[in-house]
Amino acid sequence: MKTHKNRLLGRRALFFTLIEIYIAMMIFLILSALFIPKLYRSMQWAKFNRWVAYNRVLSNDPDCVVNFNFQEGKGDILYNSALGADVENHQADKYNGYLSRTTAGAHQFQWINSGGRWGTNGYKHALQFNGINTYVHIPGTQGLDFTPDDDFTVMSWVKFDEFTLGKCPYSKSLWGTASDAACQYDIYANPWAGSFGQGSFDADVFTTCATWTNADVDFEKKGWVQLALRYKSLGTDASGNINGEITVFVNGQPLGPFIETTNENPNTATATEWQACSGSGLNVPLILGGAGCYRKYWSPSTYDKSKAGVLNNEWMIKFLFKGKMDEFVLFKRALSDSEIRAHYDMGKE
Amino acid sequence: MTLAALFRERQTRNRIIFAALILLLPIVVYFQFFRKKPIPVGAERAVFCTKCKSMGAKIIVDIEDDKDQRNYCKICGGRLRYAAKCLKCKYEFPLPAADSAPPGDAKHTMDKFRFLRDRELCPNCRQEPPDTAIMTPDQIEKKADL
Ligand SMILES: [Zn+2]
Ligand SMILES: [Zn+2]
Repeated sequence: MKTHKNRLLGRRALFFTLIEIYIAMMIFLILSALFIPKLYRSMQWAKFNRWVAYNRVLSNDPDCVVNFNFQEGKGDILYNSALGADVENHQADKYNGYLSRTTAGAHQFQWINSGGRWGTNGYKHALQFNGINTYVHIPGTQGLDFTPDDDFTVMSWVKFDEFTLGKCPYSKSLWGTASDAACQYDIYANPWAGSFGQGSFDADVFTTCATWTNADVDFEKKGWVQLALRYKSLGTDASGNINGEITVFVNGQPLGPFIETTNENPNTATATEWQACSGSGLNVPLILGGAGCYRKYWSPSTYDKSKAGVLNNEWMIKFLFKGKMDEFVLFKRALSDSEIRAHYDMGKE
Repeated sequence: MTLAALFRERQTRNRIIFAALILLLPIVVYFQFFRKKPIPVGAERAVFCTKCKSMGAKIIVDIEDDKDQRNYCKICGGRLRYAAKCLKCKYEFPLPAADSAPPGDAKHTMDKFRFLRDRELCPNCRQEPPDTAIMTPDQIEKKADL
């Protein structure tokens, strides 16, 4: 009798345990099916809203000259939201970005709505650059024209489809030959650092071409990358050299020391190469999605010697970026490491 | 025992449901937490099959990625490359891969660019860019479904 009771109890205990687990799991499955996507959505929504608020703070910074958030999602213009820049006669709309094409005809950009960060739920848009003829033209130059005595910072969120040599997210430059190139600032992929080993990015700032070989980013993942370029002027030394500190940040982290690959144009007060991109020279515009190049070297057959000094005769666009861009912001001051880090923390996926 | 009879017995029925739920759980968990993000979109490009020489327009993310099935021809399985055309002799050709490194002496970036430019030389008449050009999808006359 005793044994029988125990056996019954045992069976009964097992039976109820099964039922209990079964009910618990039913509840878990139903709840998770109902709420996890909503939870995920609200997390994405929270990140998106936090970014919108943060980005508004960036736009209100008097040193912020250009801020594109790529939220248009359609049309041919990126609207500059940096309305209050402390630039003489500042008109933010002079720094709107025009979706353009290197050859005649309508632009072939593709807007990818929901293609930005936290994009799977439709909040964030991005612009797809095709790597063949798409670039964004920013006509205004005054507020983003710098000399080696100025400081500046350029930050963007990009997603490289292809990380091959020369893929250039932005430039205010005239690339030419080893002995004749004029750059103010640009950054581009350089996976071949050649004899220096495996590379990551090159940046040109004034007369310095800097190569970083320590790739901290796994481009195989093809995720969004925060890319920041900062220049801090260190003034003119006794021998007349203008010194400056160039730093590239990837995902909020400064890349280590770089290798200077250009010694042809010493960074002296008398070096004028970078001026070819400034108001006193050709006034080469800032573009997104490609590198400005000297037509005389890159396309001699289309160069017209009788039109020397005419912008569109001297300047052409090559090394087109293939990938997506979701943010672009330019400051006329050197942001601190922590400010750049905050831009990453606020904006990461 | 018929299926109906199986379900009439309470314990067996519960066990079947329980087992089904156990099997369902990893599927739900997979879809909720581990499902891969959608594939990056890429851009429509003119492509050239290195094997059957057909040309077409296709959404390409990374042409250098050997693992991406979109970089292979649907007709013959050949490797696709971006299509280029010589404007002088009208010869159409695939742009060579960009994964090989430039010569060791190309230390200066502008020299490496020179090497990049050499990839665009016309294989037929040695014409240089810009008289050879990477094609856009709308420039292909006979589009094959690649
Ligand atoms: Zn084929
Ligand atoms: Zn030819």
